[in-house]
Amino acid sequence: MAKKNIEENVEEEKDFRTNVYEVSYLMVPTVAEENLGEEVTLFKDMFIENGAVFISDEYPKLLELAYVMSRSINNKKQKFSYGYFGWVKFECSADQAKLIKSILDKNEKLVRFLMVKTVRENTMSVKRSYGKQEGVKRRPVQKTEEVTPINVEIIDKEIDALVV
Amino acid sequence: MKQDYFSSNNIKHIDYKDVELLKRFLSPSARMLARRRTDVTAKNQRKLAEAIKRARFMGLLPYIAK
Repeated sequence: MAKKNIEENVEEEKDFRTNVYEVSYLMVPTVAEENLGEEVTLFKDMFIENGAVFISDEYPKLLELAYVMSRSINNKKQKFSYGYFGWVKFECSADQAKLIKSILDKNEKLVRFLMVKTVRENTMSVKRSYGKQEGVKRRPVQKTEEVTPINVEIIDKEIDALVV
Repeated sequence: MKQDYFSSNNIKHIDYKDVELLKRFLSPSARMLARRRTDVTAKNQRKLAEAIKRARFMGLLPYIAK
């Protein structure tokens, strides 16, 4: 009896334990720029409807993809070389995340999506000037050429030797 | 001895969306650089590889560039 109670408590704890997830997505480029805001709010509402707690997001931007992706929409294979890339960070339980994933799988407005476990803090590093070391200045290299005095007599002799 | 890029810049999490950062660790043909070239710790090299693979999946980085 006591063992059963402990098991139930463990199950309940599992339900309440939440993780921070991030879903990055590529929305189809066929969505018009005017309707994008509407689509994004619909997309974000889906997370809240399924019990997730919204943390942060980035509004999708039209992006040229590094390679052509194909996705079958309405049983037709379509190729995409552009997409609206955005992401949403939220907190929910593992079961809720599974449910959200299954809903996203069916969403035909998405070319592709990626759900990963992450941390609450911002993970993007601060932009720096890459490849340039600040504060370190290179000294200009001074070229010193050794000037040798030209001896006309020796040169004349060498020329004569060559001619003869 | 060279220092690990991520620990020297105080980067705890390698984000797959940080494409400019990831590009530093790719060859001109978009292949991942080996640990002997990147000079990062084994742990960070694993994190870096994971981030690059995620970025590739999302079309942010190419699998191969000619």
